[in-house]
Amino acid sequence: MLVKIKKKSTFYKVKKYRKILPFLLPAMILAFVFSYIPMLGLIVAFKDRLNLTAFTPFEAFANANWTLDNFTRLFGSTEFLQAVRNTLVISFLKIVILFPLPIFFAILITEVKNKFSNKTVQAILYLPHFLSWPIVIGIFMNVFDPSSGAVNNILIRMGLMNYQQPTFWFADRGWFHFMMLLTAGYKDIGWSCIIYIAAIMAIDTEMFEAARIDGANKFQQVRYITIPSIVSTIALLLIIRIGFLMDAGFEQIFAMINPEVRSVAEIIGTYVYRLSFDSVRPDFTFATAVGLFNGIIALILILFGNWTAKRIGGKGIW
Amino acid sequence: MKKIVILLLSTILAFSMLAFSMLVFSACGLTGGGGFRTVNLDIDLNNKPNLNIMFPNTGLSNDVFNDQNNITVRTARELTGYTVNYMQLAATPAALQLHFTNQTNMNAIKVTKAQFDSLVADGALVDLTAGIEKFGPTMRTVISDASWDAVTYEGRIFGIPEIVSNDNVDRTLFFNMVHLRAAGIQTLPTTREELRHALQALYTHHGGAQNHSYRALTFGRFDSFIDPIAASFGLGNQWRDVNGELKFFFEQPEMRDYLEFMHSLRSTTGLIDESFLTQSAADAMSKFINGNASVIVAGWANAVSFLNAPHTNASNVNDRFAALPGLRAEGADGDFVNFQNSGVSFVTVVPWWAANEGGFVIDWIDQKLGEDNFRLLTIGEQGVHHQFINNEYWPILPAFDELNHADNYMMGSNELFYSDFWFARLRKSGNFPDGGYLFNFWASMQPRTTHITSNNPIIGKRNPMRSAPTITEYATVRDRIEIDVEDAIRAIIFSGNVNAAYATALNRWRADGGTAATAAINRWYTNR
Amino acid sequence: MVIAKKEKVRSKIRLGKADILFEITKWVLLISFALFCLLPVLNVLSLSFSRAGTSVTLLPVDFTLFAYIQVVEGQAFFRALGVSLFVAIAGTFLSVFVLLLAAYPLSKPDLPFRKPIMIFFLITMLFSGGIVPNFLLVRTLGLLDTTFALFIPSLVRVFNLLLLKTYFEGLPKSLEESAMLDGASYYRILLQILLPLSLPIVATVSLFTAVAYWNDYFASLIYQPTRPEYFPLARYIFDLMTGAALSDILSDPQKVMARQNIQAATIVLAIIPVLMIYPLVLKYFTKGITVGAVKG
Repeated sequence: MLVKIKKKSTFYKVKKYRKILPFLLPAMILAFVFSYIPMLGLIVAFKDRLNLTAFTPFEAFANANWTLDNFTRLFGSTEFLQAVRNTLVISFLKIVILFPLPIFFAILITEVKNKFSNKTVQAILYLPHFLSWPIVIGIFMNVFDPSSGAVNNILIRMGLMNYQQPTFWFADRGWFHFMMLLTAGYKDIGWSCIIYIAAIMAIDTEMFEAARIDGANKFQQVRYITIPSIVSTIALLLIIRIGFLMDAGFEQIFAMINPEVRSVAEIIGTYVYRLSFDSVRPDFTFATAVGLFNGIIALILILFGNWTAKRIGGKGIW
Repeated sequence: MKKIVILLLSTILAFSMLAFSMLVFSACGLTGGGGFRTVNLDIDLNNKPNLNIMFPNTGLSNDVFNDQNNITVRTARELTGYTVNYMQLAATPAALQLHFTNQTNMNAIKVTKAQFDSLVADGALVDLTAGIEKFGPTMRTVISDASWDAVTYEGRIFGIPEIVSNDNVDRTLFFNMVHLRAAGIQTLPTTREELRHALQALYTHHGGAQNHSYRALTFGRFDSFIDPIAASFGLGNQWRDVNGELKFFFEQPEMRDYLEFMHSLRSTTGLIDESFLTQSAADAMSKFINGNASVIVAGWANAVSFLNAPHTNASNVNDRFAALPGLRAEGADGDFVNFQNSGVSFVTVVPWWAANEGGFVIDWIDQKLGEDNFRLLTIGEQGVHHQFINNEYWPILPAFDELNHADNYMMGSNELFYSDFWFARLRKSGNFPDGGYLFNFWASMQPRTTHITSNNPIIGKRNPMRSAPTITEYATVRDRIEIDVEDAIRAIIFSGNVNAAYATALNRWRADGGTAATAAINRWYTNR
Repeated sequence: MVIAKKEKVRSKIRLGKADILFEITKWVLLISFALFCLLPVLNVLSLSFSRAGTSVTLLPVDFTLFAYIQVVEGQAFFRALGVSLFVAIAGTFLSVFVLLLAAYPLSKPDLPFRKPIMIFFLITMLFSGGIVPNFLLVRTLGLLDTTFALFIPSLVRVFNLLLLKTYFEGLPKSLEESAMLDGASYYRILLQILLPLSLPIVATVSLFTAVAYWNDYFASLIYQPTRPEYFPLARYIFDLMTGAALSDILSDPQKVMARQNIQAATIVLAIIPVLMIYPLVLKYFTKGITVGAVKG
């Protein structure tokens, strides 16, 4: 009996694995330095100003005064509130419009029985995901250029656009959400199909056989077999996606931002960036406060999302 | 229970590691500026180090600024004995701040007066007073007290000032006269309505609604505040003396009228190029040169680009283009008003981490400011690059073109001679005694108070803030709020809804520091 | 007998009207979407081969190599390309190496402190310091404006760690046990036994890490404030797009007019490396992550 207990003790396990435990060190040290230390660095949000032009970070930190002003400022700052609003709006739009589409296309793709066609279609659809955001936005800026772009030329020739007043697709607040969804859809819809394709392929083919014999047509098969079978996957992914509501897509939005659309395009992430790196007089402490606020809300949402997913489907992110 | 203990232990471990790393890092970091570091006076001038100098963005490639490609660099090296590596500041808003945060390896940097104010208020610069005493005998004599005052903060000197070459009216509207005459208008407009009429005529002549790539007036997104038009409304330079106190131009009630007028131009199709919302000045220039626009906001210095334009019926550049001297309100008469640049334009400063070798920088600049050296560096050798005729300096082309970028390298200026030398540059396009088209463009824009020209019905207004020292409340907010104002002007002209948008933008400027800055500025102004 | 009958029935079922409609709809939508993915790329491809100032839809107008010549002549593009290659290769190699090392012990169910360590890693996925603290850290470490800052802070990718760990857990223990009996060290077991067995997942993870590094311009935005020479390709393209880093182009009016074409040519050249490894990605990926995703 005593021997058994000893075998399970931590000390014994450490001794058993003493040669492999060090394998963990590089990753842990890197994670500690580059993920945990910055978390501690959030403390600068409680200082009034970091004067980095004249001081090193530690000195600037030491010289500055403690204050809660950055946090009280949050709710009075129209720019911040606007950024929050935009983040939520953009994220919400992406979920409502872009979330269902991959499901839809995944169903179609799995119906392509010809192996060659299937692989070709998949290859084409996944490709945009592998292009960087600057490239995707660059491509769309060329295609949608107000004066020389293909889209405007075609619309003008078709008489749908007045050539004296071409639409500035990327510099028009009214078109921003459209372009944002278009480019996000371009890059991500194809890629997001993958999980659904995998889920659909996991459905037992016998059910389809049985349905076909019973006379169900394709539409009915999809409605009564395919969709119900992947509902749990959809629900799980939807909940997780909502958990990441605060992530509106920095890399995409940042590549699309300009002063004309800023009022609807600036999300929290780009606002933080602008405060710190695109200002003639950066406001690091306020930017940190904004980031901290964002991080906490995001954390709560993600945890809540994961908890909900586990309650409903038994599976979560971890 | 065990889990909690483990968690607790790991947290304590984490924090102690952090504390340790903080100790380590603060030990090896340099101590910063603040407390105003001073120049190390104990240096041996015979042991000259290589210097790294940064200057404002020129839009040119970095290859232009080395010894092989550039005579000014070579000459400076030969005259002063210092080998210098030149770097350009990036054109982004945060570039300067980032260089200072990053402690980029440089000995000195040439910044604008506004940037200087911001840096000195932060404590990021080295106190040069003693250094100039010891190493700068020449500069003390050739730079005026007014200029030194502008770079003095809390009684100490933090930079070496450079003044404008001449109190010039720099920017105005340039007209393609060939187009204008073809449209039936023989002379430049003199009132705002004549301007509108001219733009309309130009647009109609070029096909009106049929021609969708032509717009009469074009400009870049940073040029929405057009000086001659604004001046006709009674608007002033950035700051204007109103009843003995200084007022920011955006706060003047006439601003609303300017915005209304510009918006009304913009609303009429074809008069203004809609792309002004987003395009760069280079794009605008490109359209003007291609003939897709007939009027452009430009400076006389940009006129060199006009030569690239195709021309018909006029081989003489003077006949092809003309600078608008100014505009009046309807029914008004008298002289035109336009805005002159004046005072300190650039300051050369030493960042706090370069204090040790600041003495060498001062010595280097000092050597360049002596009359003979200064002349060599700005306008080259007599007989080779320039000649001295009638008490004036005239360029010898094509040799003079070698010195095209010389003003980038200027740090501090010899105020006694700079203006005279600069005129040689202005005459670059001519041959004695004709000053050339560049000179003529410039002359047609200048007020008659300038000793070169006469008969111009132009009054120049100089910015009353031109001799202001660093005012902390202004320096710490200035660039941010002024960018917002500029964006607002552009947006309002483009989108309209002038009353509401203007009120919003004005309140924002006030709330973000404009009111406080105005108060502080006036404390200086009324007591100077 | 029954089976044969079923087959006969199966083959006799004709496609009804609804099914034909479905087929048509399916193909129309899929082809449209495929075109949507491809046409913009074609447009940019044609734009890059066109003369400046022309309006291009799908075919080059006035075929010319001017834009490409401009890109290739300037050094900036190749410098950025070199940086991206370095970062992608070094970053992928280091990241996968570090993660393999960590995944191996974590795959052992009775490893001491396993749960706390997992939590330690997982927390980094949920919460981060954000832009400013990371910037301050890299500044303090002296890594600002280096190419190292582009990959070192992001070496530990916990999602990949989980994939590797799960895969290791699924491998039969017998191989490992017999190797240990033979006296092999953990290191050798990892390299000579586990690694060859895990090629699909390692390849997948490597390819994805490489693509992530190749496409990342965010790190450059934060950690490279003042030295354009060290920009990776993605950042270079971003600057090109926003008109920021065009100093060498602005000085020549011809180049200003061709700015869009030059931009297009740069984009095309930047896509080529991705296209080259794309078949590899497709091959490994359809094996690797589908399994992982369904599991998770």
